[in-house]
Amino acid sequence: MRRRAQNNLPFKPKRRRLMSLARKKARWGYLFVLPLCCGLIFMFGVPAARSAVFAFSKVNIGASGYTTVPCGFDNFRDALFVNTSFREKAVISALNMLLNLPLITVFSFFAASLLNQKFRCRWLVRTIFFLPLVLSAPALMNFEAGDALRSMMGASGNFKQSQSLTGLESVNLANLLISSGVLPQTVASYLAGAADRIYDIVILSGVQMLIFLTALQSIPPTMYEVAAIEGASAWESYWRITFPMTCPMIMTSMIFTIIDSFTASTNKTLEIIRNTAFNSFNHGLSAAMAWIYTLLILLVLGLVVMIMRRVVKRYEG
Amino acid sequence: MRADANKRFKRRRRISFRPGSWLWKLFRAGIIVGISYIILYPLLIKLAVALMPEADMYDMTVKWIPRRPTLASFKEVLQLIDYPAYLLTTLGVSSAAALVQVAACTLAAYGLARFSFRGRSLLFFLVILTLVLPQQTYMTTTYMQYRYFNLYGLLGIFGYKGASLINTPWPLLLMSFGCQAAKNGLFIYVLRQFLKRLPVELEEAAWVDGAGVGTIFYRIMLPNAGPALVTVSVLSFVWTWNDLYTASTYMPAMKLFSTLLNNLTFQITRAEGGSSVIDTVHVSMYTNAGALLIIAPLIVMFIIAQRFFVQGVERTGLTGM
Repeated sequence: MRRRAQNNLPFKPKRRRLMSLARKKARWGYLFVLPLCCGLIFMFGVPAARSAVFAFSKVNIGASGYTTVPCGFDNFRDALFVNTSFREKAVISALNMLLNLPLITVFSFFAASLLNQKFRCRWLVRTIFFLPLVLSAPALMNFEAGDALRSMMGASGNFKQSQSLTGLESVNLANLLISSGVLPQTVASYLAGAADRIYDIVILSGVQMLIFLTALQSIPPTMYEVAAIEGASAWESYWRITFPMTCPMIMTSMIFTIIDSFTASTNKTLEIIRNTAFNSFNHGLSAAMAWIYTLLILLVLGLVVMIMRRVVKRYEG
Repeated sequence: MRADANKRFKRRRRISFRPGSWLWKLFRAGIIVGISYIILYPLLIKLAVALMPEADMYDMTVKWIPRRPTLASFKEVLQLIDYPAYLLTTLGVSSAAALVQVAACTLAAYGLARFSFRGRSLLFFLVILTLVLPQQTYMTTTYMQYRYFNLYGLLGIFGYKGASLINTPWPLLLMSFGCQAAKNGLFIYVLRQFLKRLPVELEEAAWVDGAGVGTIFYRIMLPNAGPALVTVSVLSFVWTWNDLYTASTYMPAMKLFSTLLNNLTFQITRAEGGSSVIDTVHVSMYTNAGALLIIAPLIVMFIIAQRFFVQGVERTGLTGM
């Protein structure tokens, strides 16, 4: 490549060389995306298309492969009206996500502006704040939340064994608060729920914090200097410079939050989809559920993006 | 400049709740400590329980700090589970997968960022689509591809029935090669945004000096993409390490930490059950110690890498504004 370019340099007319150069470069581009193309075709396109076929058929798995018998919308009907726990769980995951979405966005924005300031031991604080990024193993999250109170109970002497590692912690905490007799029941369970949610939110906002931190870093410092010369207080320059400059990233972070919460493997809906395929071996139903779920994700994503666009437009206008 | 201006303002207003004032610093410190506590709480309580001797577990007065801290739980867990084998397997699989992922994603990102070939925007759209679609949507069919592996049907033409790749790291490595492992769309997105922001003049200068496309990529783009590469490498390593879905689907019998952590209580109960009566307090102590042992390598690595990581983060331009 290099030798040819050098050899050809003095002999060929300029215009032709430039054209072939551009074309040659474009051809090199294909080489760079070759692995990606292979992946998209063989590991994404083909399985996704097959799974779409599965969704409309009865799948029988044999010793050396599978056969499909088309059955129309039967699987979709089963997923929506026969297997009610799927519908319920899907709606719950969507609602849960919508409940967490503003909290995660606000928290990660706030935490990122904190991390962007200069103070002593900043590296330590940054390490701790980014720790959820490292530890947010789906398994770990359940595990930590589930086991923490259990061990506390163990330590305080009235050891109670919780039935499962997942999702019972708030019930325990609520019981604890109610039995302490200070708080009424509704307040106690609300507090317990909020306490759980704080942990979830902090754990779930790792990447969003990253997004906001890089956005904050990319604001040119000259802007602040100008503002300071013009006599703006730090508070004013935060709301007039920092916030508007990072505003576009709110959408990016929200989109990531939505995708992340819908596709996290701790998600209860995905668990059902998985169990339907690998424990009940009903692959057709599982595929139908998965596609309904995908449509739900796209719907929520589209809705949030639409609303946010309108909000941002109004803010800018 | 800014500090100067701040000083002037300080003179004008005595007591204020602004950045720089002691009140603000105190408030900030409180919030930082609070959030750090929330993040570290599960780890701290695990550590407390893991260090307790059995007597402390039943002692009402002992809540956080064990009266006689012992390492007995850790020793017991190390006997119950084959820790070195798990560590080596997990380390090997995650570093190999991360290496392949970062290489494939960087190539793809460079291709998408700098070359204007036909179908580029379609390709990028598909990359984002892989991020939005849950892997579970095409889980069964992907699983079958590797259960009866005949090179994605290419060897099927010759009547080859296919071999099972389940319980080998190959499915993960192949998916890493094709940028289809977990969250690889995000890596491509981040790297593409970063490479797009590098000045084109760098490459043009190299072209004029007679460098080929490969040389430009290797000698010009890669060194300049350092910060983004560090961020993506750390994330891909850590996420592969933690990826329960891939591990339990394609490598359920392999000794990986992610699957072990998911059913640690079960494993320990089973290992315990052979020797004596199952005791929930014991199981809790061992589970906590075991979880800490599993997390420990990751935390140590992150503390070592965090300096580069955070620096990388600052310059990644993840946001690409």
